[in-house]
Amino acid sequence: MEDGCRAVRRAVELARIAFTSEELERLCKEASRIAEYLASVGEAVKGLDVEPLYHVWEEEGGLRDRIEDRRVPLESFLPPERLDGEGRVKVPWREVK
Amino acid sequence: MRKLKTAYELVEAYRNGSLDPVEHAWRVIEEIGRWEGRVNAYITLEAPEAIIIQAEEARERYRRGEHRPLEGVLVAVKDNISTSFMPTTAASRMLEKYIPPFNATVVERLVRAGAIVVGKTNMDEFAMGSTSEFSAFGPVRNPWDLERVPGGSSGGSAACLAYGGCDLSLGSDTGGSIRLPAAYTATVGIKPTYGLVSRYGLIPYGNSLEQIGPMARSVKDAALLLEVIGGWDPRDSTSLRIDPPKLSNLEPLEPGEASLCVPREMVEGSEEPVAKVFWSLMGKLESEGFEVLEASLPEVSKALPAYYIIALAEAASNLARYDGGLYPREDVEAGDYWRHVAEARARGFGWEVKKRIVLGSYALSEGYRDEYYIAATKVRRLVRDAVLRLARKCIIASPAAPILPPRLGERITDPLLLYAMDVYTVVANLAGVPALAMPAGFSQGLPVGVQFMAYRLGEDLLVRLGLTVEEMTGLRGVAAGEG
Repeated sequence: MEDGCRAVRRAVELARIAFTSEELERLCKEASRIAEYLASVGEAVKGLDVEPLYHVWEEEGGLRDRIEDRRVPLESFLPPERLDGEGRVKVPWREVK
Repeated sequence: MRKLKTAYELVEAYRNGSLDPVEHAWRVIEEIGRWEGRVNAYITLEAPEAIIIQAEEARERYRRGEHRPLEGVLVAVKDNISTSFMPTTAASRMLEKYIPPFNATVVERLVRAGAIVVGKTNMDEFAMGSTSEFSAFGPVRNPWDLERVPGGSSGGSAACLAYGGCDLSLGSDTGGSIRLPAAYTATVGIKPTYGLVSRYGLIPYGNSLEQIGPMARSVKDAALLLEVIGGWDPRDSTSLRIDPPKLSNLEPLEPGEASLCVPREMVEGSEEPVAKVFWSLMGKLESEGFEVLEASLPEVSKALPAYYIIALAEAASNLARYDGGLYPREDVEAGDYWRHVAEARARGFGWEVKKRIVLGSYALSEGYRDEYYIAATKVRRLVRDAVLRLARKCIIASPAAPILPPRLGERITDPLLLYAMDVYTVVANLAGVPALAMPAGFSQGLPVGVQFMAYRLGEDLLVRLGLTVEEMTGLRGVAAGEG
């Protein structure tokens, strides 16, 4: 990655993520090494006349001309204990450690 | 090692009355109780009572002869697939309290087919990882060896199958996230043709690469599940306008019906135990009369960096929506907008996700876009065209992963070593073709998986070959633990 940490700092700004100075130092090391590896793709297409491929089948996507309400009613598969009677669901939880 | 009933056998046993769905549901709940504390395959589990009530309803349907294709089958769903009746966290703090207002199309198709959703499975955060260690809910462990990883990112979906904590599961595969865990847990996983399965309701990572796919303890089970979830969805503009595939009643492939080819670039880098099991399986196929040809795909040498550039660029764009507003965080104070966004993203995302977003932003930024992103999309064309050329002639075979399942912590300290685990699987995502991973054998008591890739919409061919291989290895329905 060109000019080490300067380029990483620029990308961090674009990414809109706050980092501490220690984190930024670690990020610089890791990201620079990865970016250097990823840059090797340029060599593979150097001098070749190849068009970019953005969508693997290069076809027009199916237009959304047939949107029907396909929602499966919750009461058709959830037991009554999980429903509050007003269209809402009681859900199981697990907190992040 | 033990053998458990496959989903197909379960449905048959429910139908002929030799097994009660409620009895089976209790058995699975017991397995979860026995293993889950050590494996950590689930982020959210359905309450046992709720599972049993649904199993009782399934029993009634069988009695009345009104059963549907997956009636009473217990299915685990990866936690990046939206469910309106359970939290959907993508294993991230960012979404720890998120309950989607809708179900993913695949979830609707599951419940319509009579499946019971038993829980949401643990994974790498936002599917970014190859070991299932990057989860805000703690790492997943491999039931075959609890000191090792189950592969990722759909590690929870594979691990719960491997210990008998579900009958079927759904994963998602952006660069191998179904196939790597399948290979590491002696289970079966299919990455469908791009567009065969709706992505509506899948929390996106790399849209142009990823597909939801089936995971199971047998090839026939994976085929049955793919049949249920596949087919056109008007809610997903990238879904192909085709009918659901017919896959569940296929016959094994006979010699002469198709040949196999092994690109040397997709075996050479494998460690010795993996290569040994792989070539042993190829030898068995040859001795049964199948033609196994050596081939070359030099274009795949740049597939891994091209894949990562495209995936990270798409991730940077997709994850821009997590700005602390649409999915708010209580621990970030309101104030200056941009500071609020940066702080919310700093607290909500884990390290690997942040790193990938920064790298993706870099690859798309002014001055670097041509060197990285555009070059990667050009390599993608070369890889796709080369794979399609070869897949027209033969089924492409390779190991699913170059190494045996690593120990926890072994790979995540070096990002390049971590990314290298996907070297054989990313090819199918770049090319959009279907790929099947299944058990090839064991080495040092650890599962080794084989991968088969076919032409676009060649899932039927893969399933038929998978049935043949399963007969040879005898590894249908295997699970970790004592029988």
